[in-house]
Amino acid sequence: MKKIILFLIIFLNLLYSKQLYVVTTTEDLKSITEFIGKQKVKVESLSYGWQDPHMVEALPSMVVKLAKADMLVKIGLDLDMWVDGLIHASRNKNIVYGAIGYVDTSVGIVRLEVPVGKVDASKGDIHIYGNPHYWLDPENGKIIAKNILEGLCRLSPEDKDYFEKNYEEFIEQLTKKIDYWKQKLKKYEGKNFVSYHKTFSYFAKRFNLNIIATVEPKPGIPPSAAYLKKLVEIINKENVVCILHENFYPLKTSQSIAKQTNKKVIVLPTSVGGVKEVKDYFSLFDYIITKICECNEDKNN
Amino acid sequence: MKKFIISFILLTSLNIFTQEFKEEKMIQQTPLPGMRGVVANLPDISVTGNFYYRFSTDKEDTTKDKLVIEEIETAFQGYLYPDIRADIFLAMHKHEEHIEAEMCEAKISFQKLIHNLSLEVGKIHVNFGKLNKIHQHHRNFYDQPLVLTNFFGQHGLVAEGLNFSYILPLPLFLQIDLGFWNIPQHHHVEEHHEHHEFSLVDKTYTNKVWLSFPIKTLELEIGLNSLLSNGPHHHEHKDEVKIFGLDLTLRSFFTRNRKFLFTTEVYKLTRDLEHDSIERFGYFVFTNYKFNKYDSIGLRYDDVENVVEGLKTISLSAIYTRSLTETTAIRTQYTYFFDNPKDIHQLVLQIVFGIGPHSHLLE
Repeated sequence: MKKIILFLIIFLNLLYSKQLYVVTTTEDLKSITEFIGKQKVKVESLSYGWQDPHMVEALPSMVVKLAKADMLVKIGLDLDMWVDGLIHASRNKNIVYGAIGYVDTSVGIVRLEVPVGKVDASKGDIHIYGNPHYWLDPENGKIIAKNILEGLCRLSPEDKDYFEKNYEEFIEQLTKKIDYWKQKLKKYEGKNFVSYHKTFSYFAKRFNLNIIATVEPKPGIPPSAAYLKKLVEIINKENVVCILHENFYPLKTSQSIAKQTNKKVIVLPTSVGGVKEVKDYFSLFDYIITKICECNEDKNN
Repeated sequence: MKKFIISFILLTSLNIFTQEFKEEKMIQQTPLPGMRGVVANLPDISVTGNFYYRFSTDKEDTTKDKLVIEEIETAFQGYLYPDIRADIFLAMHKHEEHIEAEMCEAKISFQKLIHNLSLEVGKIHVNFGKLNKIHQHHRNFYDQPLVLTNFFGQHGLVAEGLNFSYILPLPLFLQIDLGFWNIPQHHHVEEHHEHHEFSLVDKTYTNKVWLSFPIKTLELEIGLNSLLSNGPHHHEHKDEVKIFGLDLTLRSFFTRNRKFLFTTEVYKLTRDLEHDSIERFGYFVFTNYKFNKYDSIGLRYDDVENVVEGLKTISLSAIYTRSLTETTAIRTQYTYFFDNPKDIHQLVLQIVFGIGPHSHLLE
């Protein structure tokens, strides 16, 4: 009996120690890493899906996670800059910029809205490397997955086949889903939408939706009364389907516009974990697309 | 046609449509702060400013009812070597009626010596208590809590020396800091309404045990701090100073950018003179509620014993902050000083701003 227990302890210990400990900055990256790493990774996200990813507060407890991490996966493009100070505070050489366990998933992404010329705060809270919300294009999910795959293979080359198999499965599943989502949104192709922040630019481009304006006059800048008046006129003239509202922004302004224009506000998560129904990368798009479709159905009714 | 022209004018009148953007493939990882000037081999350069206008019922106050450019800080930050970073903060401060240039902080950080041990060398905001390490433009109020000013000086505990910092390999965050410092003699505090001065001088030793752990969406931080130093008269006779402190911070995160913060710091100062021993006690309590992406309200209570025995300064502040961006905010702070020697009302309008990439490590 004693021997069996000892054997079990050793076996479980070996099994557990084989797992790579991966820390991600967002829950979207956590979800994709779990698809590729499956049982061979333990993944934790530093932020919650319901948080504004621009404004996550660096906490000492995050340092502990990073200190133990074999790999860090981040969005890059200055969205999750808050993690940079934490990396250094963690003293973990494996996850510093350029190290074996550092994965910036923006590599290979065709960036939208890259500012041209001088960039300063007169343009709002602008990201100098372009719009960082690229994970909201599911095709970019494939690039993110590829970057994560490469990171995992670097750290655990003996598991390369295992990770590659999972990656292929993920890509296959995602490709099918993209076709399905495109079909669902086909009737909205070329239709006009308004969003609060420029979060849905990648999503809109993929599914041929037109985001003709944002509630924020410039990124990160709340609207003035004069701006809102113009926006209401545009919405009325341009036959806008609905207002897409990211669930971490103040709802009051979007609701006020909706009231004045008789349009519906759809409150949407922008990340996995943004609402309790969105548990992984696939259900994030399922949820967003279902909500957009419901909006028009409600309108037709 | 008329409709078309009107909608065209409306569209072009919105700035979001006039900004120029392009599409571009990302071919490399996003450079970190401190590596932005990599192509030109430049460090990150930034400027932060702190301006305020102060109204007060104190008739003796000569700095009231005027715009005060409290501080302009220029930062140069970058890497010297893998894991070795330099941060230089040069500040122009208002001292009475004059603007003085000062090296606010200048440090080299060896981010990993061995295992989890790091080292900072230079002139540093000492990791003592919670607030001392945080630069003024990052704080949630316009002024420094009275206990920090009365015990450590106008700019808090800033000293030249070195600080070792070690994170214990535990499932929770436990960091131990040991600092060895020298504080120049001129760095003293003149306490209001008194003809007494107090400052820490010469060789100073600090220690902090910093513990933090999350409880669901709460984060609790506890700091135990101790300091050994000398008083201003130690060259003439024995004047030894010991300070013990406790800091406690609780942060609670809710959905949609809502956050509650509670922080308090309590200090006991013991000054051993040749034939006497003086004890002083002081603390502040601060609560802040951020109720959306842009706005927060806070309350701060200060209570500190002054150099003259039996005299205390007590104040209560109400603060409203509107954050324009991550680095720029406008603030209104009303403070009521109790019996100092007579009650004083004070209202401050402040703007703090930042231009360029500016970063601080975990504070």
